Amino acid sequence: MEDFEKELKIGFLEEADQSLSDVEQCFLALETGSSDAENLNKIFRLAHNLKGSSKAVGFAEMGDFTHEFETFILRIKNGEIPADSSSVSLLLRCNDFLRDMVQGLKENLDASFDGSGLLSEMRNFQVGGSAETEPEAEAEEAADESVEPALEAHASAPVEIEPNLDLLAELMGTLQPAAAPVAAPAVPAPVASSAPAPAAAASANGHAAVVEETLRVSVSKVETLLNAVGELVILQSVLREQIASVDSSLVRKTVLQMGKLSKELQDVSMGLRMVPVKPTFQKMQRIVRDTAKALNKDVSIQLTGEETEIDKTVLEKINDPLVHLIRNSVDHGIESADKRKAAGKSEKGHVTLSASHRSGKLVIEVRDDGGGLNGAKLQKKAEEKGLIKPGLTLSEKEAFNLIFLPGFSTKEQVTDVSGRGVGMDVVRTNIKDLNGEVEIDSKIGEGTVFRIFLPLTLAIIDGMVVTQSSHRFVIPLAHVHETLQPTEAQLQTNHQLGQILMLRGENLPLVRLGDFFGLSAQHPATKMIAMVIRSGPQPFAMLVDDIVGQFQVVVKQLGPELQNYKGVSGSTILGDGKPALIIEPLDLRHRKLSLAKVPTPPKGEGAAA
Amino acid sequence: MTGTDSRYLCIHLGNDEFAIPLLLVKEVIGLPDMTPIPQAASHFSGIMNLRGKIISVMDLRVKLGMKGQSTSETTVIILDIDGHSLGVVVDKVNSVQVLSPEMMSEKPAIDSTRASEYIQGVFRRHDKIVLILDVAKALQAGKAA
Repeated sequence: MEDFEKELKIGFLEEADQSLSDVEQCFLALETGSSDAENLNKIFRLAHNLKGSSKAVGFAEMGDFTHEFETFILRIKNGEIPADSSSVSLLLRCNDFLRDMVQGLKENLDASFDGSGLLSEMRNFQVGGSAETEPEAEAEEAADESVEPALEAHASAPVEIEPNLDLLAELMGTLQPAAAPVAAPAVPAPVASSAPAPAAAASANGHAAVVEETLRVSVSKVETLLNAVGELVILQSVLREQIASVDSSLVRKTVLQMGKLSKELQDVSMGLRMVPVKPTFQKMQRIVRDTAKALNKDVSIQLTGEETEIDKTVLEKINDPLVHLIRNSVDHGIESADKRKAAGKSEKGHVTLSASHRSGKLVIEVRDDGGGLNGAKLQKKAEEKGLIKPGLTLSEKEAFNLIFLPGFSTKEQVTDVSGRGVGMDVVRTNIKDLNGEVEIDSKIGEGTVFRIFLPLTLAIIDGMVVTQSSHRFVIPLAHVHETLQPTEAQLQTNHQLGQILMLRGENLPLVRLGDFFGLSAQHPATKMIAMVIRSGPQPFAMLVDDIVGQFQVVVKQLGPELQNYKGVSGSTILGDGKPALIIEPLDLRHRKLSLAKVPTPPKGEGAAA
Repeated sequence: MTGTDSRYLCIHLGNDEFAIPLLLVKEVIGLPDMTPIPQAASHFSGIMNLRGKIISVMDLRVKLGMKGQSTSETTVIILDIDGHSLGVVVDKVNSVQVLSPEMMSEKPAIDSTRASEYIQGVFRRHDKIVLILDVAKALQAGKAA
């Protein structure tokens, strides 16, 4: 395959992927009754675009499929087929199939797909009885044409459209992207095919009164900008420190003004990484719908705060945990219709998915009005499974948290939707990986709320800058539970366990940051600061020389030569422009454990890794 | 590594002169403030802030078994090694030299020289021997650190 052709195909797939996810919303809206013309038009345009473009770049199978798809949509559009749950289901399945196709083709440009089942379903789709006959003539005609896929789909398209003059006008616009690669195959392809695309997308969103124009920018460009701005801010702070020694008031004023400007510049450029949670939330609508269908439940979902923004990388990583939680709510949370009735609730279950900002964090809530969690039952279950020791006294919250244990599954019956006992522990692990937290609130008979707290960005963290033997380190604030200067009475040195900090009845192992990094010149523990770390499975305390302060720091990757450096998760640039390492406190704990287990000193630690 | 470009950056490490393929060199900067990395190998000078990017800096002199003493002429050259930026401390940057193949000669076959594995070849400049350095190889051990 020629490079040019390949590029063309890859470009098309990217675009198709985007438009497919853009349009999914419309399918769902169709079902909920709002079958306004705009929705149908959007879907129709998508199908039409895909048909044209896929044929143009040489994906014949996709072209044939979308042709049929288009015909089917046209029948709905013309009112021959009502937009009810059965037809929308079929549409959604087609949509899935198209996505699979796009995904498959992305992996292998020569991949082949069998869509014959869906094709014949679309062709033979019958409305209830088959009372209406008059508009059928046209549809029949269209269907006949498509029975022979050899028949040029391109040629047939205008025939179908002819009766709809307004539609034709629309198509004039949408045909362009499809036609461009055909008309000018010699022109550099990506430019030709991608340039009209945003325009088409914009017109698809056209029914909203205010359309904010958007620009797609590569992540690496944004990163470069952020680096430059970060440097600017640092230089600015260096400059600001110097202004006391400058006589000219104009210089001083200018420096201060520049300071404001660079702060603003930093905020804006940080904001570039932020995207609304909307697309991810909308995907969840689909999950609820499919899950509820599979379980024969009637569940509606309500979204709030979709415009809430979060760092793109965080959003991508929260997708899977959310899917799990949503499925879980529909499957385990919402009771069967009979049970709901008996409990005096409406038969239709409700799931609410909301996002909001709270004290510098993003909070995502998955709330259901189902049966709620039974703490005692959870505990019993966990005991039976041998996950916890029997006879523990657990608070309600602790009992709820049992569902996050690996291998815990509450439902007696394992369904294909959920209940395999994987999932919830993965949910928590994924969220923890993002420096987030998840908490559960539940009331028997009233429902359950899963609340996820996430940092707005992974690019900036709140950190505590500490010193140890004249080195400066950053400890992510999320790990630090409290800090204190230990007193003689709180310290115990045990030959077996090493140094122990006794804090309010707890015995915390004490790890010295200096020991971990092999830094000399240690003070006695009473002259140092102990930071209590509770983010890991077991709490412990870490000793450092002093705390410099609390800052927001921009996380930077370390070079490959330091990637395996233990105890460090990254680096940052401090206010004076000098780099510092960001500590991963949990690594220190592991080291401590291994030291405790193996009495001989570990080998091969002289080097950096 | 050398590609088709025959330009080399000549540098001093201690009293010896070395040449590095110019295409590997992204920029030359003065000795920056560096943050040392605890427990790193001795030739690992630390990490530095290059316009907002954190870059590891290696001391080539120490790596090649020389003494690392910094003077006003001590410089860091930023190299592009397999797409990653890496800083290297050198004593002095001299000039850019275009080398035609006939100017180069095989390195003297002395197996015991410890640096010989990093040396690709030699050439003469102003009656002195200049060693062509394979930086990536020279730093290989540094990568493992």
